[in-house]
Amino acid sequence: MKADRLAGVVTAVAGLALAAASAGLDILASQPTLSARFFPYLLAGVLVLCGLALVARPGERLLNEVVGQLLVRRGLAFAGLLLVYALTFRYVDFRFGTWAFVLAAMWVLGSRSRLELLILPLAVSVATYALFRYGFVVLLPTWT
Amino acid sequence: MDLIPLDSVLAGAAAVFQAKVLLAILIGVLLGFLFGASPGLTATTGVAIATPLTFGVSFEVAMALLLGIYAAGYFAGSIPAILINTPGAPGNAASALGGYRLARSGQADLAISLAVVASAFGGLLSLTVLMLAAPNLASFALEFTSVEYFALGLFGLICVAAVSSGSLVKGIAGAALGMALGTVGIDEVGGTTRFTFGLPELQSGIPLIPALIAFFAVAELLLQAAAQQDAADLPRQRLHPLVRLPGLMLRNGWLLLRSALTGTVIGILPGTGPTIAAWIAYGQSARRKDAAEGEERSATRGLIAAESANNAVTGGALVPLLTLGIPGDTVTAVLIGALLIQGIDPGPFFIFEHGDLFAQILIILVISALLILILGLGARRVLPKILTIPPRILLPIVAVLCAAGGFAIHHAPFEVGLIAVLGIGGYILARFGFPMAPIVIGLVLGPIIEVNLRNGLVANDMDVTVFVTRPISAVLLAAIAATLVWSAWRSRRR
Repeated sequence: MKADRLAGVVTAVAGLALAAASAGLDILASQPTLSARFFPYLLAGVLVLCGLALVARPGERLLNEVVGQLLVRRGLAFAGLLLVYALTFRYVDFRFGTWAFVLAAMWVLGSRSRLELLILPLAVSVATYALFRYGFVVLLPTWT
Repeated sequence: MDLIPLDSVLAGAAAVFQAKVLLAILIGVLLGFLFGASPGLTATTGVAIATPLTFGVSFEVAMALLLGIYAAGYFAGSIPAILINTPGAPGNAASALGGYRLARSGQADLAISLAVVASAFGGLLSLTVLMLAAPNLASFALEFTSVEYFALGLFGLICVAAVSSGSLVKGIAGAALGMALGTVGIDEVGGTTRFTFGLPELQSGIPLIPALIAFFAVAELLLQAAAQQDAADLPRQRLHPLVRLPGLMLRNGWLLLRSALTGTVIGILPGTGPTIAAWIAYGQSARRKDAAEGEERSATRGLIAAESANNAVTGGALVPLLTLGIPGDTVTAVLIGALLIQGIDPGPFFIFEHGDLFAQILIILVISALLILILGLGARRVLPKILTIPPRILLPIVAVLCAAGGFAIHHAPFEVGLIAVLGIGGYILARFGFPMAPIVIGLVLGPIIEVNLRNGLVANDMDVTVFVTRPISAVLLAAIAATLVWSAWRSRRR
């Protein structure tokens, strides 16, 4: 299967979902111009048309190839770590969270030197905190 | 011809020539070298990450940092292009053709020197155009109504969709997706809340800077993380005396000038950017090649053309930003966020109301271009060392800066989560071949297009023909149609 066929189906479904969500928008009864639904409807139409065009005239790349690229283990692991780091940002002390994230990310990306893993995450965590706290006067989340 | 008043220039110069501002320019240029020369990270990434950091600083310091990154980042992408045939940014891809050929023949030193001088020349020439054209264009833009702004916004968006990498259909779909994201929040015209899904943080819309960080920086980081690249092996360089450079540049003077003008004009067109400018200039240089021309000479000409055009985009792209409020390329789209942080709304009144700030921008860009020249030539043997920073170290550091920078804008942890979610979404879209630029420009231009469409209709009693009866709007809509036809024809030929 061609990758663009799936991309086209997803794009068209996204367009339909946008149209459905737009239909539920509240609008004023006597608005002297186009309603708040008009533009989202227009964009939904464009997305559906683009999706159908991709399904009808897909490019050469195969779906397996794209999925294979998406499932590269270290890319997935890095994305997962980043997501956890970002979603827990408000709850975890920045210094600890950053140290843990950099340590794990460096490991995932292939770092195996003990010295590198010992020094760099700590240095990045402390330096970034100091830069933002004292350089840009930004209070990053902390436990104390 | 309208020019900036002398007192504005003097006030601007007084603000710029302070130690802290000059230091900020230097730091910006060095960061630009770092971001530009690291394959996968671009000037846009650098400016997107640095923008939230400018929240607590003055206008001149903020612009010094960001414009330094902007100018140096566009140049520095040529370093990996020349040395390892891996452009630091898409705009430097054309430089790889000539530059890498020179590097393989042991003349990497010459190639980097040529790229430095051509970039500085392109940047300085485009600034001259910015200085002369912007005030006049701003006067002209004062005549614009919502009808013209709608047509201009749509034109910019279609230009981006048409010239982005990948298919036209994906470019248009990306632009529509970006505009759909731009509809989130309270509708400016009617006051209706749209697509917030009960999240109060989305009432004011998808925040621009976190979205820019997500689509430009995080998506790119994830692509790099999956690419399994190691630090680059650098080719051995042969020493090239600098005294030979002026003669070489003079022999290619017309090419240099023509390419810089090409880059400036392309930069002025809303929504284009350095990639198309560099390729067109490279193509022009290649067409002039005659049979007797050697490989080294053609490589030299190609490199000079691509780099001068690439950097000439910087001044050109600021023309529509500072006169119409429409970004000329992706970096200027990010710069809108930086200007808004400073409480400044770019548009036709910017130059008239803030002539001193406009002068500051010009002076900062001139200093940046000169710094690129001095630092680039002085450190041309050290710069390639940036390529030896392994991705396993660089990527986590940049990710931390993205998160901390995203948080710093509004002290909002929600926006850090948004960066990760949108970034992963952008990564998946990029894998399926959807270009990022139309999505981001759609997010920036979408609200402008919608509001002006609706206001334009209100002002003209809902008469839709006004978009084709007003001359400027009619010309722009005709240009949109022509661009779409040209792009479709180009896609078919491929």
